[in-house]
Amino acid sequence: MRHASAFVLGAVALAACDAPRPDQPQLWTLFDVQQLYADGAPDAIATDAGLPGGVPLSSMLDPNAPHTALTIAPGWAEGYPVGYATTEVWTRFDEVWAQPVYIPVSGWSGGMPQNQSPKPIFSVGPNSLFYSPYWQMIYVEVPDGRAKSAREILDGKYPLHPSRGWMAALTPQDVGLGAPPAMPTPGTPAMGTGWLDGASIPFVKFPAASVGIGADAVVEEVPIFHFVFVKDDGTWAAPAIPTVLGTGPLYSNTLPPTDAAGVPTGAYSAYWRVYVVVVPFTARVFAPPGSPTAQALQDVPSVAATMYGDILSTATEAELNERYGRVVLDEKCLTTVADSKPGFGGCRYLDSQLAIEAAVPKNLIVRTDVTVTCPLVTVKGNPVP
Amino acid sequence: MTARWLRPFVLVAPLLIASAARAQEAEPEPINDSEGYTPPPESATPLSINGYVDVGFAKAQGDGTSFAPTDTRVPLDYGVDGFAPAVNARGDAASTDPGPGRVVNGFLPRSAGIGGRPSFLLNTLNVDFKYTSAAAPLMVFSRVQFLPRFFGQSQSVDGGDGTRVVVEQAFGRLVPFDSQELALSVGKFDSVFGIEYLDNQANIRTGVTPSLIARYTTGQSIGAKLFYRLQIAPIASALSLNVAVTNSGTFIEVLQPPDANLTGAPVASGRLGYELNASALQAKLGASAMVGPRNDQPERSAQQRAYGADLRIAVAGIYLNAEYVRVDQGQGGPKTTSVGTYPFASAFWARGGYVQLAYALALDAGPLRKLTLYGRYDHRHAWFEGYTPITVDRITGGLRLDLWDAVILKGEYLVNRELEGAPIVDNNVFTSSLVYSW
Repeated sequence: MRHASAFVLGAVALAACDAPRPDQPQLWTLFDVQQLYADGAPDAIATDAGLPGGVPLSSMLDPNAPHTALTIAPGWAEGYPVGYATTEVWTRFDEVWAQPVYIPVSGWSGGMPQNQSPKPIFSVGPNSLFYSPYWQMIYVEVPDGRAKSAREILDGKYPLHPSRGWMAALTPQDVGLGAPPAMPTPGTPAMGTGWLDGASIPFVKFPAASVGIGADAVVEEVPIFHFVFVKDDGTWAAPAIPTVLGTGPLYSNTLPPTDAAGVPTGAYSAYWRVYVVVVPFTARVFAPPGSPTAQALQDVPSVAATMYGDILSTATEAELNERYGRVVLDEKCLTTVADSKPGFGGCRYLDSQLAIEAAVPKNLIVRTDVTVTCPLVTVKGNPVP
Repeated sequence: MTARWLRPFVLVAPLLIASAARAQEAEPEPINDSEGYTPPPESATPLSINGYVDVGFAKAQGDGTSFAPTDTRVPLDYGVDGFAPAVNARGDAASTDPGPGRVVNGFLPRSAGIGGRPSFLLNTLNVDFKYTSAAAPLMVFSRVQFLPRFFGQSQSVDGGDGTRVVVEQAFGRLVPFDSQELALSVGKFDSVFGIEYLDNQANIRTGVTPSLIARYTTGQSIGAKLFYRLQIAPIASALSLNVAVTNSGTFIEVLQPPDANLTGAPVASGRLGYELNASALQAKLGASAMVGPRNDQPERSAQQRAYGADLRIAVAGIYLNAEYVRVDQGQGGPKTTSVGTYPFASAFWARGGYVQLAYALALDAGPLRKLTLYGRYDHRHAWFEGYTPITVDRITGGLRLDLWDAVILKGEYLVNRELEGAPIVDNNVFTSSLVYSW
């Protein structure tokens, strides 16, 4: 008996010792970010998943607005300037899943939905780790307003017509795109209200965003590149300079989305895996003193370019804006406006996936445990078509 | 259609009742308050081998699952009760196959793999070994079960043969004091939570299938257990305490693996009970609790708690069993169960219970020794964090015939209803069980 008791006590005592704790998957939605603002919490999330500094709250909801306006962040896609919003951040998710959303329609004719309701019926809410803003659109032939939950749709055995993927982030009341860019026109990002388990739920939709849904409803991810610089003490710095949006899996040479005429469109993926790109030591950022980008480099001023030739004295404001924040592989090319013109001059900018893959060794393109929803809202300064 | 399977039982019941030749008698006192069903300790030989064979025949509606055919939510098992279409005493569902392209997250029972087709099943071949030492107050018990299963050509789960051999119990029990009902068990043993674990085995259970809350309270696990009972003879009563520290607590193995501790910290569970053992009336009341890290993930901070209350009354051949349980689980890390790994263990809450009423009529009609009619009502409300809460219930009715002392024939019909949240599906079940004991 004594031996048995000792065995039990020993087991319990050993169990009380601390063991290493693995990290949990986490998801932050706009609901969470608004709450973090309200709580006065630290100004960044996802700080422990491989992305130096994490994701600033200000990159999701504009701190200058009453936390209701989506921030539009700058980036490069195939060398073009783009603007994108960030609506969700995941850490340690190997995959996220598309959920069904039901769009009531009055009928189905010629393979097309008739009288589409503006109030979609969502199936999973933002408090679940299985929530994602990527939806498998399913048209359902049901009178508008008769069904307000996924259960009612399934129980009603109404005719269902699965369709394409769709991106719409569920949001707290009043959260949406601020101004600029304000583009409440058909086909562009817009706010709306749908149903979730019988209750009204606001959303902001991004119809142009491409949603690739693979086997088992897994959403296809595409790389988004964040630049980091190695400081003199060996640590990394991740200044707030524009990111680079990829086109497909690493080294896949996936073509960018274009329209029928070959013009770039905003139909990029909205689901991104963050990769950090450790910038080659020769690379510099186009950030003349006093420029908006120079402010972003205050922690690592040494990575700002110092050679600008006659660019600063001869370039127009538009030409300067076209260059601010770009990472150039070797600043010696920054001599004239013509020579430094992105895409045409002699400068090699790291402003596309292809350029990064060509110029940066593989071991310096590092996958993080951070994935984000970042739908494009502008391309070349214009609203996404 | 399924009602056809009930006809033989409906027809035979009045005949058997009419032939009753002797008065009813009280059902024997369960002998397993401490460690689940085990043979009595007064065996003539140090080593005894007992067991049973449970052969079933079952037919479930639909495809044998609780999944609505057009439901594509992820994960599918969060929005329905996959345990509802149970077909045997182990709680195996007729099917758990979500079908191609649909995703589940490990909140499902084991599957009998029969889908919606009527099928014979060899539910369990159970072999018990018990050794009682002559030189020490020690009993060693092991229960090995053979579970033949076949999963056919499913596209979404591993097909083919799924037969398993399970060491369901293996423990040593010390009874150090002759004068005290005090026992310390170490090894793998039954739950100590509530009362339904007492009916885990097909040769003990009144009906065929477990309740809708059995998944939380009836699992075996590995650890140590202390049982103490204090008899209060003047009032024909007793107080008992049954406490355990184990790897996985009291959830069934398919939800939380019992054979390894994934967090490094034990789960504590226990039941405090009162018994009234009067000649005309036996009553038992109990309160149970479980607390500790959930053992389907590696985070110690992901705690689970369960509280329960139970009641049993036996009087004049009528047996009333009732139990209520409340379960709260925090969010954990990557999920690992006995059937696979999943993205994460979501926070989860459940409240549920059942009431079972049985009437046993003792008979002396040829081989027929006893006839028992029983019914049970189950109710369960549960929800995963952020997911639509579901409320389901179940109405079970059945008949049990005890033949000689070694054969039990049971048949029952389960009416599963989705009351809220979960889509309504055809998942009622007829199931039966023929149990041979030795």
